[in-house]
Amino acid sequence: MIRLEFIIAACLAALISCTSTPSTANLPIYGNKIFEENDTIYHTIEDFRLVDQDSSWVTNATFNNQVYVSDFFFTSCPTICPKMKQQMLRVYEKFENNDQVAILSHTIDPTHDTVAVLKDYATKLGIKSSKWKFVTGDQDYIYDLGEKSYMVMADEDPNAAGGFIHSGAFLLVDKDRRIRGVYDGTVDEQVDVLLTDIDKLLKEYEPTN
Amino acid sequence: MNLLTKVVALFAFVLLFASCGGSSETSQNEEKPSSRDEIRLKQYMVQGAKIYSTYCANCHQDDGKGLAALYPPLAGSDYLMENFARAACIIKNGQAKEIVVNGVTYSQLMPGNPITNLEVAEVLTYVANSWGNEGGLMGVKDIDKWIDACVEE
Repeated sequence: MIRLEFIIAACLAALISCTSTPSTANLPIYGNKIFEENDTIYHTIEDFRLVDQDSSWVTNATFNNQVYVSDFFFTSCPTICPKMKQQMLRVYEKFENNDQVAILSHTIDPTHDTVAVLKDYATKLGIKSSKWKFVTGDQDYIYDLGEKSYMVMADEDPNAAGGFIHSGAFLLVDKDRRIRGVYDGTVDEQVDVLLTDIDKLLKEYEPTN
Repeated sequence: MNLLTKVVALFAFVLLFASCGGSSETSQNEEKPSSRDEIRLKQYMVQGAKIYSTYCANCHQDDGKGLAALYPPLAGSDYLMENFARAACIIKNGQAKEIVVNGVTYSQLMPGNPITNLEVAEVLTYVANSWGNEGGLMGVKDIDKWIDACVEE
């Protein structure tokens, strides 16, 4: 009996200690780091230039002073993309009026997903603001960007449904182009974490005191 | 005497089956399925739910509401409920043409699904009887007939 009480007490203590952990810790910084004498160089998103659904150029400068969530998809995708887009809508809706947050969705099927197709897709999804950019460009260039900068896989595969294999990941990128979070964009709970992580990340940029 | 009991029992048995095999209108008791169709409906619903989550839920979503103006809803969908034969064909063969569902135009391509006619029956039963839809059981014999009569799009 005493043992049982002890176990319950221990469990409670563990629970309390977990739930009351201060959540002020900064988000991790992903990717390889290079340590120099007095400095650490982090993995960052390389310079890129793509075109969005409104025919505007999108580069790193587009997200100046913004954090953004990035993903890879294609409009004719019959598998995970609709789920990803439904989840990304949650990000869009939560931060619709916050200028510090943007969304960047890359098509991995630029042959089909022209500017006009992306515009139509965005409109039908109900996207009114330029906060959510759907971008297209050269196919190899986009795959390269996905692999090297965002560390996600995207490739053509005639055996996969829709002709492409790709990751359903959402990447959270900070104002210094660094990846601060990776989430499964097809899972509700993972996107819950992303939503709170965006808040946390924005807090890092608030002036202290 | 013994024989009479047997005859009465047999008669009662036959009567029971005859009354049960009829229409599914006689559902006085929600707990116990009172007809074979109702049992079959429940089996189809269970199997249909699995097929739905594998082949359909990505676009039409778990709640059957679809996604914005990209993927049409199945929940409360006039297009679905007004023609189940057409729905069976679309499930099996996909659809490329533009359609209007509850007043909204949808043009996203729907791929066909590599499933058997029985599975079409199960998943069609599921979508026709979920989220407030009440279409009843879609028997596999009807599905066979409908699929054979599908018009090439």
